[in-house]
Amino acid sequence: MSEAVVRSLHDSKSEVLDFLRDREISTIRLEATNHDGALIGKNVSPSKLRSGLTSGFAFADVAFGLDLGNLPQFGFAYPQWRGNLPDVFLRIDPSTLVEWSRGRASVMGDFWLPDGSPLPVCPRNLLRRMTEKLASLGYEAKVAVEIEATVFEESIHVARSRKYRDLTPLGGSAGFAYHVARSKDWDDYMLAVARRFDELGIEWDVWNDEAASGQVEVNLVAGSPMSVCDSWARARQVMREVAHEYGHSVTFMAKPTAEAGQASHLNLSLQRDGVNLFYQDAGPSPVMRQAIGGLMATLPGATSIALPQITSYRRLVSLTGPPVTVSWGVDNKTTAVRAVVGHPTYSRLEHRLPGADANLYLVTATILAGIIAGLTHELEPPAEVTDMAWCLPDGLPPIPPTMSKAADALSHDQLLAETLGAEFVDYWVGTRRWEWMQFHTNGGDPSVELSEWESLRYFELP
Amino acid sequence: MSSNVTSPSGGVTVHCDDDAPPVVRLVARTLRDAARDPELVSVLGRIKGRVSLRSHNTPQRATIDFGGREVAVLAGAVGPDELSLTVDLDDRFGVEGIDEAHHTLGDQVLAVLRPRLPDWRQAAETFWASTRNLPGMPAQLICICKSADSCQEITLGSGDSRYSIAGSAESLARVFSGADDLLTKVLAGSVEVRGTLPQLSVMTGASWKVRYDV
Repeated sequence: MSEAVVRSLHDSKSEVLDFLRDREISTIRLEATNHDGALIGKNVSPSKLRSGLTSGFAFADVAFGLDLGNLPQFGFAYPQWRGNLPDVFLRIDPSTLVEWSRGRASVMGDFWLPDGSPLPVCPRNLLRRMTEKLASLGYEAKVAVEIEATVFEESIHVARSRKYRDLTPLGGSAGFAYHVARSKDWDDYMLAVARRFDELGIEWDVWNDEAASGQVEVNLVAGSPMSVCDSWARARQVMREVAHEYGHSVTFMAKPTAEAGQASHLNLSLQRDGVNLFYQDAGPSPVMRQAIGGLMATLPGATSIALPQITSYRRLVSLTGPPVTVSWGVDNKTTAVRAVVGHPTYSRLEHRLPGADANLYLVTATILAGIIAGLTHELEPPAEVTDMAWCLPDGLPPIPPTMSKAADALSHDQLLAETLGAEFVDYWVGTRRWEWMQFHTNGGDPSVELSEWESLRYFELP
Repeated sequence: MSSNVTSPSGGVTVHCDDDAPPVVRLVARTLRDAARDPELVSVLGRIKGRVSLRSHNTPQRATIDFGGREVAVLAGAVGPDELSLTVDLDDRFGVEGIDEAHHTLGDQVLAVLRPRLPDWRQAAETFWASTRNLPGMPAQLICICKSADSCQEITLGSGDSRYSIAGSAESLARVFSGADDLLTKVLAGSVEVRGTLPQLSVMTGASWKVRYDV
């Protein structure tokens, strides 16, 4: 651990202890995300928190080695830090400490190795490394995420008893996107979610009805990549908790029913000294063009991280919303990357590939990695797509349509390996190949619209 | 269909898609092994027609189009077939029975799907040759054949890192030839291993390579 970090933690220690005492906190939830985007952690007492403020809190290395069925992921070479279940350590970020509920606090953290170096595959550390790389080039990223989820009338207990199938969308099945006259139960749920966001300091902009039955979208306020990702992780936990309180259930599964999928669109701009460098009077700025160049060059490989699960790929259907081609266009939502141009504040890129089931820390890190590659190598983008980028007869490369093809694309992506690090890329690819094997050999069915295996595995987590 | 085509063995070429699921890869790999067997290649070359396979305990399905010197293995159930078999993918395509009307075709298909197991030593050497350079593989693989009254051992490779696999002659032959999945057999207790957890991960991947050619 760097001296600066140690000093920062030491300085924060008294503030943390004061916080706990002043609010009579008896339980602190330590939070992080694993590769599947699930919220992982432990609940500790105040004295335990005190003892681990500098040294961190031990987790077995399988915190990054268990699949969603609770089996160890095998089939690939592990990096040096993996062994016979040695410990890795979660160190808290005191700046994220909040009073979650009466008597309970929560705090986010990231993972470190016993020798004090950051765990290379930890999502939060990876994101930090990408923002530091971007900063070394003289840029800051400003990001915003659109969280999509589907809410069902039934409680999670009923959902479990039905194996997450044949559930009733909250707000009914009739309608379309942006419908504000949904039944009161839908409205009450979202109002309660927004109130909890306000209580916890999770800044939100907009919430609305989305395209599929029961589907909602929440837009968090734009900010630094780390703060937005931390808010994303907590926002989803809020949505689960409120659903539970109201006797409903919510899922961030990529495609929880045959009707429609759900995404995590990421909006991003690059700034320097408060100036949006994606802006110029007309069209994409030179910086935006290089960013797009990097994103297009790395999109096939990035797919594996943006679409992390088997069901993720079931979203890739033309005319239903998600992109199916490696493409970009100004104001063109049929492409993978939409460029919004001509505004000094709002000029930005919208990456439309990531699914609702993706780990936003990893997605953001990967997108930044693509942009960094574009800036570093001064990559020019391919031609802008002005047509509808769906149902095309030819000409545009397809987004890898399966988990296995996406993993192969990532394993061959030199730019992402160079920027994200070969260790993370190899590890990630290994875990996806394990997931692919589990699906096919342990009960998944590729021939149906959505197999029971997928519902059981992906509905509650991530 | 983009094809995963290996060089013809004994004049028979087995095709499958580059992005094929495990069951297709398993069948294709098994048929390529049969094509290398002097006794089976002629059987393989004579089979004509479409045979569909389904797993007895998972939704996995494959279709084999036998066309003499060209065999295609496809994912799923593809069109009408001459014969449909329900097989145990974890027991060398074991079937419960074949109806009398399809006995000849069925016997031929099962013969090529269940080629003779090699001797456990030969299987181990072939396994080692095709997997020793995979990232993370141990420098030395020790294979221990245990029977009621004896214990034989061979050591493949050399170096500091070691991994041991022990079992009966048949168990070892099945795992090393790809007929069985190593991890499945370790969990079932059919083979025993000595090494680290990371090594088990790498060896699982090595087993997939020989079993599924992936």
